[in-house]
Amino acid sequence: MDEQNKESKRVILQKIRSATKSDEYSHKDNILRSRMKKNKSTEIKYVSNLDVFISKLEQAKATVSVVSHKRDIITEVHKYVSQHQISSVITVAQHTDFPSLDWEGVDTTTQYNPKALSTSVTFAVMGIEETGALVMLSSPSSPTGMNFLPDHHFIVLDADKVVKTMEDVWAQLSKSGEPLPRTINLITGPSRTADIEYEIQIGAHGPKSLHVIIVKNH
Amino acid sequence: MQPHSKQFKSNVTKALADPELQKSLFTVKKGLVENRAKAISLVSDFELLREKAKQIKQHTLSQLDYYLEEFETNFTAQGGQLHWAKDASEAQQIIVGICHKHNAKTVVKGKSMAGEEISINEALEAAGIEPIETDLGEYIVQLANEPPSHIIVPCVHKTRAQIIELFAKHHKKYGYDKPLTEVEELVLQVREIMRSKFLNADIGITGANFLVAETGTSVIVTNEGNGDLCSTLPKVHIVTAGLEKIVPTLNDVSMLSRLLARSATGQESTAYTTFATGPQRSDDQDGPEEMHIVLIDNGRTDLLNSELSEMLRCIRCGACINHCPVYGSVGGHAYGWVYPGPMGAVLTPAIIGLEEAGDLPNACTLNGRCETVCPVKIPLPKLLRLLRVRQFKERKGSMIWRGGIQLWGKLASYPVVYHFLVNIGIRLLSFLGAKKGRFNKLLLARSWTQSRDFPSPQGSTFHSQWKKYKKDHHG
Ligand code: SF4
Repeated sequence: MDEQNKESKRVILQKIRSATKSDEYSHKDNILRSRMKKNKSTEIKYVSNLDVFISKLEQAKATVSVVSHKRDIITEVHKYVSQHQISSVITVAQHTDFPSLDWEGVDTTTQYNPKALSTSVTFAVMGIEETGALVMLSSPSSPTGMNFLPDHHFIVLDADKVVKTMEDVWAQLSKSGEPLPRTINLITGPSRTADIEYEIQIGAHGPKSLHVIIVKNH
Repeated sequence: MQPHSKQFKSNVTKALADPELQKSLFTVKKGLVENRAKAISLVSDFELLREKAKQIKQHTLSQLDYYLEEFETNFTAQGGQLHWAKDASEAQQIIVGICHKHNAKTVVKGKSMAGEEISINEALEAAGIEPIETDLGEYIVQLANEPPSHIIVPCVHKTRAQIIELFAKHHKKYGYDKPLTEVEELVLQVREIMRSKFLNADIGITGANFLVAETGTSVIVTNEGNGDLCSTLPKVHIVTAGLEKIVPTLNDVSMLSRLLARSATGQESTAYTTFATGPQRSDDQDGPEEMHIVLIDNGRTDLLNSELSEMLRCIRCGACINHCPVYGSVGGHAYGWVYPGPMGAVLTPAIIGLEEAGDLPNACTLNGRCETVCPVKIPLPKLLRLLRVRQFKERKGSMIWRGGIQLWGKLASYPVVYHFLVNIGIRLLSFLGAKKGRFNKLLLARSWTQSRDFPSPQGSTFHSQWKKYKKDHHG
């Protein structure tokens, strides 16, 4: 840390301490840690009926289909792209829950090229019923850009992984004891704006469409 | 941006006479207020949420030094670089320094009110670096060479016709010459233009809605997706954030985000909530190689050490602005700096000083709607009153105003004289205004009668009515 930064830090902290009447050495032991423990629920609440979750996503202008087997993911993507006349190559992320999907018959690539990415398939690790959000973790085989660059975005989710609230997500992620991934995106619907005359417009800078494929019995 | 809050009065006169502005203000008022009401009616106990949110923020402020250092430890452990900035010029210097180190030519920006506060665009331009606003609303005001007029919907003062004209003028150079009419076309055109800017920019700058001490994470809550492209594609990501953005844990973010979207836009949840923790990891295919956070004080520690410290709970949702009748009549530019409405009327004088912004705390009807909608229960009317007191004590404000208040204060402590004089005044006014029941011109009250009539008094004073009531009812 350079000298100026150190000095500014010192000044700022000192001003805070004189305002809050605490000094450097008076820290109550591990305030944060006790707060954290109190905050983390041990029991993670999963949701079995997905109606609310799906309706929240649809309210946010995503489309949703529920399929009963993982090989139906490919059929579903195929159906969607032909219905919407999407002809581009589809960039597919990798996910440990769905290894070795056979994309026979669909033009796909696993090469990530931000400059030419117009349709993508990525995998959510969880869903949140409260907000209809899909929980996306960044990783070497699932770069964040795949969630924001495409015009058309597919997200695949295991039906058994929908939890009640955002707090359940933190409880689940903290189980591993690993630090958080570089990026966690909670995504509810395609991108939108209401900046012009407060008229809602779907498809601002992120995807113009989001199709969610929920896989049962996987 | 350079403050011009001193000209509040003339700004107001201009705003009230601008029919386009009045039209736009009406749309927002209706839309944002109604949507919020709907979203909140769906929550079973919104009051409880407000109380919890208040407590989270209040707790954090009471241990702010601790949480800031904890944040620094966890953020730097993930490879992030934290910069402490005492004021706007130090923040500018840090950011321009990072840009120079990377020989940056262009910077893509997500919306950041802290960035506005430190005039980062002006500083970058002065250093020969091009700042590109990518949030649609911010982009529009940047093209128009104007400051944002609202913290959530920056170009709310612009009509579609004005935006169409603006794009026609500025987008020719990209080869667009077909005149547009629909909002969809306007949005699409900006999307196309921005794409290559995102991909080619040297640096991305965004704000932060929360900084999480527990994990060293910076959180943005957005709808357009531009913030994520800014923080993912360029090689360097810089976050500008006021130091009050800190919260202890991820669970605290969960609680606060329940209130933020509902209060801001009336959404149950925005399209995107993003948690970024440090620069890219080894083997990652994207994400910035460097992540910097500039933690900005700029008057906040002084605020913490004052009778206005509760203002630091603010999560910048804009609800108080949307519900403010004064903002609803004059719009954001009249306030003359970055933050408008009730929150601006507290923050502006607190940060840039009462000399600059002394009119703002007085431009308030004390109707109290802002306090009832504020998700973190900031007593805005109380804070505005405290600022008026401070202003009086510090002998600021015009002589007439100060003299008037002083005279009134003196008189009010002599009830007999006071009631006698008030009674005469009232009789005189009701006599003069008896015919029309109102005045459109009144001595010493031009700023009132310019934009609305002054009602002529009806009947006797409250005091004499109260006396009569007591006599009639209790003998
Ligand atoms: S003062 Fe309250 S209502 Fe106003 S912007 Fe801040 S948090 Fe929102």
